[in-house]
Amino acid sequence: MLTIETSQLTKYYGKDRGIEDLDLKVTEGEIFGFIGPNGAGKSTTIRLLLSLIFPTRGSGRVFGLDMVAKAPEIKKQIGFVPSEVSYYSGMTVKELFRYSAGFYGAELNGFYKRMVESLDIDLSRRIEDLSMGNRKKVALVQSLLHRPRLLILDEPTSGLDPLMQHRFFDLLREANREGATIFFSSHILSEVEKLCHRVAIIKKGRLVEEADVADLKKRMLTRVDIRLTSDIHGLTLNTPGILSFNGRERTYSFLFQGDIKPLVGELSGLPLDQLFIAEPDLEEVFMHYYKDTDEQEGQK
Amino acid sequence: MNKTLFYKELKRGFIGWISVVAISCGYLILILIVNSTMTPMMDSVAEMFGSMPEGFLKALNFSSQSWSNIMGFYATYFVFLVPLITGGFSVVWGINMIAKEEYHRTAEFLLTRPVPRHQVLSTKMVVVSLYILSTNLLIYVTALVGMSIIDAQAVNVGTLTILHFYGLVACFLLMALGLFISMLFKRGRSGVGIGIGIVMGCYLFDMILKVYGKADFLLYLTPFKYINLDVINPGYALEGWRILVPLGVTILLVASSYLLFRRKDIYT
Repeated sequence: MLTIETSQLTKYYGKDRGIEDLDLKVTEGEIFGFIGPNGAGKSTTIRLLLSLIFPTRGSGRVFGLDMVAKAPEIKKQIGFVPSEVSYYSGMTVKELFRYSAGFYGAELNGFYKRMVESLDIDLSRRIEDLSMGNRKKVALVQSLLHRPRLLILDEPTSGLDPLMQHRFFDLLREANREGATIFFSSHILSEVEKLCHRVAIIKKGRLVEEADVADLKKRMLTRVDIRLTSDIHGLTLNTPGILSFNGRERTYSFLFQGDIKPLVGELSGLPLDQLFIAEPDLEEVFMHYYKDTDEQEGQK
Repeated sequence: MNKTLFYKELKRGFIGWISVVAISCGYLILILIVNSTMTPMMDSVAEMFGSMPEGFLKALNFSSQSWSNIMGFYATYFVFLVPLITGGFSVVWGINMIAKEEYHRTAEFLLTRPVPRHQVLSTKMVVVSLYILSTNLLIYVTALVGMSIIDAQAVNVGTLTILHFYGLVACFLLMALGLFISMLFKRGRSGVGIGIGIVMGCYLFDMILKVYGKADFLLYLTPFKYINLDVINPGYALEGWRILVPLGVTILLVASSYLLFRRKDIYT
């Protein structure tokens, strides 16, 4: 079942582009990473899903319900962590939690206490006295109080130290294990890679790729370096997907795209001394997509 | 109406409401003290008024005749007390209902709760309406008690009630105007400056037209036209048009605000 499904979702701010013709599918129970640089349209998409802004054209469904017409019903089952957390000044953290829970009829129970302890949150402090990192922690607890089916996080880890990021991710994984779908926007690719099952890459308001993290990396170019124990003049390899083959005598290197198994099979027939296969990290994948689409635009 | 939001809003605006009541009632008590000190000098005041241009006196609602008793004196300053001070705060309350949430970026929190937008607006309107009603009621009671202490025989409770009812309607009109204007803002902003601007603008427009004296029909564009200050007139009574016109405009502005807010983009 799809938790989020958008069709041709478009938002313009006057003449400025927010997002264009975005078709997004997020399946129930997955951790979905939404990546792109600042200004790509990540926050616009999230604000549309939350009905904070409204589409110029296109539509979206959350839990199978129209995201505009059924917004209050949808929001009962959504938790949200914004990129910049702003709460009411004059309130203590505990008052904020009570206030937020009141909208859902939720109890501040054992789960809540465990989250507060895990993230080391001081309930008696006033919101305006909290650092950015502490506000983020408060935002996460607040978003999980009512055990939402969908958790939407917009650049959630900015301002968190590495230890807190780790605990933050643990809580997200726990929520996911309990059935929550997580929609996670970020431009920090390593954290998306660590946490997400699937990713979508957005560029200039348009979706350029949507795939499993593992698949995406598999489809990418890998660099292969081989060193042989004896000289082979005029070495050729027949596995499809080999690009930019170069080298001489004992040392060869090339780029490879595709299933690695046939290549390894062919290489095993050679007098191999050393073999290096470098898997790209998500950053390289991301840059690949950005470079490719830029080149395509340049050709047009 | 949403109860969680209602109690929060009530608590959140309470200190502000106390300030409005203190300012309004403080000013009212000052008026009454000034009146009791001026009573022995009324002959010289009448002489001073006689030397002033008629348009100027009309604009400020000054007349030696109306100042002959405490009701008339009170009506002169009622313009500053209710439509200007309380009305000024009403327009700020109207603007701040949503614009303040946008300005302080708390709208992102509030509007991601499972509360329909019309319910958010209705709840906030109920709270602001309670503040406007209670402020006007306290001013009315303070005026009634204060004037009765100074000159109980001169106080006409019916007339005073009608005068304050006009004031209350004007406050609601200004609140609705503030709310409507805030819906036209692209991004949230603080309502104080704009609120003061709206009320003072209406007041100055009213004054200029009265001094000019040749375009009286334009006076209907300000809330002040709908408040009958001629309280010393024995025929003073509730006039339907003075209630129905501002009430109709209020309903129109509130309904338009609901429609605009239904699909208003909330930016941060």
